[in-house]
Amino acid sequence: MSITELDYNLIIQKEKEVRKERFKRAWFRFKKSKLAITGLVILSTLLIMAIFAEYLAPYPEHAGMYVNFKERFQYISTKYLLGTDHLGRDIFTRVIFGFRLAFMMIGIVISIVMPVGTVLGLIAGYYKGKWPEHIVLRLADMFVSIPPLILALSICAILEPNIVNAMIAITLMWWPWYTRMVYSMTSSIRDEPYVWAARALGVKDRDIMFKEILPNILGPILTKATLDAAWVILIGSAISFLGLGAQPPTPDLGTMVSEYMAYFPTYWWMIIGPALGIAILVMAFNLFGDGLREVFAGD
Amino acid sequence: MYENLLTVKDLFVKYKSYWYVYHVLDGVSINVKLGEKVGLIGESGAGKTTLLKSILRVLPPQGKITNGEILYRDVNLLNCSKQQLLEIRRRKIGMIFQDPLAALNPVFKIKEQMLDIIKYAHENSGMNKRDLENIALDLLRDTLIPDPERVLNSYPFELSGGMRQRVVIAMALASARELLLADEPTTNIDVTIQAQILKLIMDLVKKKGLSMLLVSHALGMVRNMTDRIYVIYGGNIVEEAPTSKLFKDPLHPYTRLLIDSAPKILSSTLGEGIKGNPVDYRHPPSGCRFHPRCPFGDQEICRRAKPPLIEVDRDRYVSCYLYGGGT
Amino acid sequence: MSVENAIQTPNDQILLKVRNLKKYFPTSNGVVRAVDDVSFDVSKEETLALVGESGSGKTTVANVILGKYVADAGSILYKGYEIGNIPLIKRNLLLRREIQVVFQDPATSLNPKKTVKDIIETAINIHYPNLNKYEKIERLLILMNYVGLTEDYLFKLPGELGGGEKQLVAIARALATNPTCLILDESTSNLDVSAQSRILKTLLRIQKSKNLTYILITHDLAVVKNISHRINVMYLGKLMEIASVEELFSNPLHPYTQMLLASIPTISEEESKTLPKGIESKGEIPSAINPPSGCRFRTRCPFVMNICSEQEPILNEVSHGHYVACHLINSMKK
Repeated sequence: MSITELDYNLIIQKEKEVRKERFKRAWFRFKKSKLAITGLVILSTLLIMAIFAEYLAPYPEHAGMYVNFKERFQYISTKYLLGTDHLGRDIFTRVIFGFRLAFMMIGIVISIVMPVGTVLGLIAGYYKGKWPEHIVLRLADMFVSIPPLILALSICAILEPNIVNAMIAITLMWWPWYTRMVYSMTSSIRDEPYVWAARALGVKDRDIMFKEILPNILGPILTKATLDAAWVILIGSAISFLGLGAQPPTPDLGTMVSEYMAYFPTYWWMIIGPALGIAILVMAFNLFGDGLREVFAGD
Repeated sequence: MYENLLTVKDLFVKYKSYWYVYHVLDGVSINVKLGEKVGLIGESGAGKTTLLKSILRVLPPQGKITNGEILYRDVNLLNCSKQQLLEIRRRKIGMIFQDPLAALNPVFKIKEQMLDIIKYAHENSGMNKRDLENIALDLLRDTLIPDPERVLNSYPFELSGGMRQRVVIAMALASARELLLADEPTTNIDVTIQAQILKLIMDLVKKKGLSMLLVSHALGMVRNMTDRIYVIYGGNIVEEAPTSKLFKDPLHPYTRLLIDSAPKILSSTLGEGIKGNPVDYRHPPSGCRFHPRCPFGDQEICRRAKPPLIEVDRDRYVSCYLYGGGT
Repeated sequence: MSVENAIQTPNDQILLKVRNLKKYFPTSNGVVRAVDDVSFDVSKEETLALVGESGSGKTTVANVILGKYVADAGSILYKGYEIGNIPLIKRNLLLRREIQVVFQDPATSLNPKKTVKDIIETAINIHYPNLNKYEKIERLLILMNYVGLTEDYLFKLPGELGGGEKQLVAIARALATNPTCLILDESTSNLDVSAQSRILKTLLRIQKSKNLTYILITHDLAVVKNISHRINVMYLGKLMEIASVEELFSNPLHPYTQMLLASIPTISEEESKTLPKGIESKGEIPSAINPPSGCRFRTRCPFVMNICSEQEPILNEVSHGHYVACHLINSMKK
């Protein structure tokens, strides 16, 4: 038997088809969960709105520094879908820009926290009983031992209160949770016979971690990431609400809630927009995460 | 001379998961007569455990009995009152579970777990705790456990595998006054201990005059312990025969191949094994469920209709068109 | 007569020499003496079975050979090189290539997220990095063909395979390195009989054509009878009896061996007749933390004598290639 280029291409072709087929089946599973699809639809709508905020928002200039005292405290109308605030800015516009900021925060925080936490967790779990485990885990313990909100607040208080520092604070308090989760999964998988078989073959440690172990724990990690996205918004909003995160006039949903709270009894509709925005975003991420969990859980 | 103690008639069981329906039991009929030791042989995934669970009505919520009848003496377990069912579970049928470690709760002492069962088995008899404890000790003594007092006050993890299995047997005996169901009673146990446990079960069944339904994939074990055997494949009973005849002269192609593939001590020639994989219950084969793996399965009729279980000899039933039954 | 002289394999083609191997595991309750002074040889191209109950130390012996654990004392010479003190991570590729393993549980011995192609390819990529992509695929297909898997299996995930098929993939993966010695760690005991005989047949065929040496770890004597040449019977970290298969089944000398044989559930009358009678299984294997003094089997032995608790029996050759460690046999011989 000898393999020609033709045979080889046929095999590669087949492999691609099988991969496509598997992906289709996973998508089918996801699709069957109505809640997950709802989450995905809401998320993509919000994301599109966030990306094209300049074009979709009725008054893009209202997002930042803008004052129009003539039109302040307007009630909900066709002109101002969610009314206007104390400076006469369109709340609907600000909420759309708020989504953009929220997605940016989620994107940045998760894209730092997830890989860093995962890699550290893999290392700690794989070298269980050796020095890398001790260093990583003790470091994680240090961060975990401080209540998350307090840690974030103190970091924001020490540094200048702004949106970047809020993200730094969230990132610092978040990675140990990934590390711990990945650590516990890795340390149980590392003794599975298939990992031993890879060792007996002479697969490099790095490849064992990333090619043998990681694919088997990727599902829970991604699920956690989507569910955490909701938490990032909530914590971010909490920090902002307390005045330590984004500062006005940044259109941050949490900051907006805190600002508009002051006018709550009289101009109650002002708070509906940003509050509902947070709620919808959090819910969409949770629905999506549950759908993912279903897909990864298998039959 | 025999009375039917347990009769399962034409039982169909389905499992439903979120994505699929698994058609597991496909018209299974068996019976256990009074004082008889019956074996049920099948490989993993043949539906053995499902059958046992159906008999005790402990199927998981995804499992549904869609058709059939399960009679215990003359009580239909599928539509009897809850009280009758409990009565039978608590005082008539006892079951030995597969994994002795999983069958015992790790956080309770043996005493508490045994008394729980004995309490119900002797409900309304006016016994106090001391009497119940004595019954527990007697049961442990029956299973030849040395130092039963110590065992009674131990946690499961303090006992060896063989000991735990003896405790599980003692617990089964507490409620088995008529029928003992044994589901792979010796898997994961060493051969020497296995021999002891099997001998123990045999002795106890004889001593207490119980009937037994033994479910296993281990051919040798079933051969040494039963009078009559059902062979189950893919949720169908494919053959029924007295034990001695089955092993001497198996009829159904599956039984033949199965006995042939068991490693022998006398000869050094290995059997061929059976090609293919067990039945995929999501899409079971049409007709005879064994036909895709059967050396004679290329007939049109095998694919078309399920062969009926027909009597080919005295007490011998087989479900295969090789022995007739086709039109 | 020293142990060194006593244990000689039937031929001098020795692949693996195990001498006075000890492996202890410290636990909170005391030291578990899993393997306690074991010596034996494995010759080239034979199948040596290590037989015993769980807790006999047979798997530990295999794991030390594989490098999962390092020996506490004694030596393991592989082709004359000491490997007993080299842990797996310190072994070089050449050595890893020589000794491969097939594990017990087919469900966990393959990575559930990798296709059959990826699984076998990993092994080929490591040990044959210089092949071009066509040669690698060719090798892969040859290997699969070799264990009896068709091209249709290339892209299947382990979850889509039956137990026997998974084990075939595990064998193909082990063969990908072109090993000399294959450790079969209860490789067929989790399989149904119909799949088991297919695996055993494949293993026999491969051994013949590739001149492999098998170290078979099992508790199933019927399997041993069918595929191995010699048997080491182990009990509580010690060797009790070494003999060829025919000799052991026709003339088992050690009471423990007889007990093991008598416990086999047989599937025909003729078989039952060939097994030893009059010795019934009793008791359980004691803890390896405080093993019985003298002969370790004495607590379960029906023929126990005074000397058994005082003195430890050593392995004696009773006939050519048949060694027994039992005072009873020794006294009868005198």
